[in-house]
Amino acid sequence: MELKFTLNGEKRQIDVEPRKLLIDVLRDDFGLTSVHSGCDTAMCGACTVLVDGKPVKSCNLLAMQVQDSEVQTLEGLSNEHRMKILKKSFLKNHGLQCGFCTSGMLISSFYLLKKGRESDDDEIREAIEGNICRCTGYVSIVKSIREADDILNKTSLEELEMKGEGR
Amino acid sequence: MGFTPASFEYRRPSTLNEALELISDLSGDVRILAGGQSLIPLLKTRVASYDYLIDINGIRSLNYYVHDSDGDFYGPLYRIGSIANNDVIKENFPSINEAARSVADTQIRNMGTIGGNISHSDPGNDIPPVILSLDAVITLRSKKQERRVHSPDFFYGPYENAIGPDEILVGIEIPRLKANTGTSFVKFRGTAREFSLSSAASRITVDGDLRVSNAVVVLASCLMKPTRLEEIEAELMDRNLSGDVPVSSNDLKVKEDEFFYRSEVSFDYLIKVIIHTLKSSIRSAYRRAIKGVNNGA
Ligand SMILES: Cc1cc2nc3c(=O)[nH]c(=O)nc-3n(C[C@H](O)[C@H](O)[C@H](O)COP(=O)(O)OP(=O)(O)OC[C@H]3O[C@@H](n4cnc5c(N)ncnc54)[C@H](O)[C@@H]3O)c2cc1C
Ligand code: FES
Ligand code: FES
Repeated sequence: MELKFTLNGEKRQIDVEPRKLLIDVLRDDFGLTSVHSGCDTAMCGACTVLVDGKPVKSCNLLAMQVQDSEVQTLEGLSNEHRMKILKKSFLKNHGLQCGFCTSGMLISSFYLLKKGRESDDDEIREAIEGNICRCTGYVSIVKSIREADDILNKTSLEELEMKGEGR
Repeated sequence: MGFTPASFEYRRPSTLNEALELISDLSGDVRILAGGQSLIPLLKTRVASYDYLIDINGIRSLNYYVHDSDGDFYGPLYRIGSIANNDVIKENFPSINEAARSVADTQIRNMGTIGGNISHSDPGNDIPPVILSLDAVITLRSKKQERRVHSPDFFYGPYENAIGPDEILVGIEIPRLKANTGTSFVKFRGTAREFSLSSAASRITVDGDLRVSNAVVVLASCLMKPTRLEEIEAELMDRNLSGDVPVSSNDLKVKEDEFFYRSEVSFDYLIKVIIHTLKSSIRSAYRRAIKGVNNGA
């Protein structure tokens, strides 16, 4: 069946079997291997992608459900200023160990930081409620997101532009 | 590749009429697909399989929320995540906000719909007890007719409700609250990832002396279907609940066959959890109700 959608900014058209899950189309048909399969039961969030700007679990969606929608994976978000800040902060604050959960964590926190105002720690924890990490114990992940949030919301736009990091 | 559903025919109508034609005319097992957050796990594990799935996500007219002087109106495709982030709902119906925010996690809420949560009727679903506590009316439509079902008549038991095989849930209507009314939803989770042990939704109205003039208390999750606890409601009438909330296990007149018991905790512990959940929900609804009186609203 014909599926038309926008994937990481490009219009795509592909013939898929209706029973195929979004995660399998992204990984197998488009080679987007940042989308990890952790549990395959909608529990862990390693397969999180953005659909029309909102995080969803791609293992729990039929690919056909994104008909006419916009899908973004970590690959497509890498040039976004917010994502760059998040990645740096995760590295600096040990927000990852094995890295398996990290693409999902980054996407969930990217969505949180998009709202353009500071988040408190409860909001940060709520934002990654659907993402399981088996290594870090979460504290360093919350710290990483906290620091990225501080950089984004406490630094003025002018300062960022001077550093060539304007949003 | 992990779990993949068994094959089915997929249809994606763009109008409600088209969907109603399909659901009435297709022969074989036909199922509506909304957010898929309950249905897809069943398909993947092959607990369920269908000849046809009718994906209603393309029917834009089913995704709305309207707040006006008569009440609140939800289209079935309105996402649980949209409810959780909607400040008008939070302000007017805190219990709906609390139930929506307690569903799963951000990602699942972004796909899951209010219509799907109600239609699925798992005892552990969080929206049904709130719907019942607010006296909602659910509109069902088939090719031939439309009917309005009052929430007490809607829920039959686990995964069973009033929706007929050729019907689609097309709207949920929540009447406006009386003045000085507070609402609340509380759920108790055993562990973070399990379905809740017990959940409670309350709607309490107080008079000018801060005494309860109307009480609706619904218990769910541990029961076959969300159920009003009339003995407890009667017990609360005419009382000022600023002190302790007088609810004890003696007031819990639930028959053994009404319990939906899926956890591994002991029955004694479950009863303690139930009483705790009920008290928290009643206390919180009462506090919200008296706020109205104290603010002179
Ligand atoms: C990991 C996980 C955790 C979860 N935790 C919770 C939780 O804590 N609380 C909770 O309440 N739920 C929870 N859920 C379930 C899920 O959030 C809800 O059941 C979901 O909101 C259902 O909505 P949906 O739109 O995804 O429905 P779907 O999965 O698309 O459909 C569910 C059922 O309803 C029928 N249906 C849907 N819409 C209509 C309609 N308009 N008319 C007629 N029939 C219809 C479908 O045919 C299907 O039988 C969880 C799910 C997962 C995977
Ligand atoms: S792989 Fe999708 S939630 Fe775990
Ligand atoms: S870093 Fe290993 S699972 Fe999170």
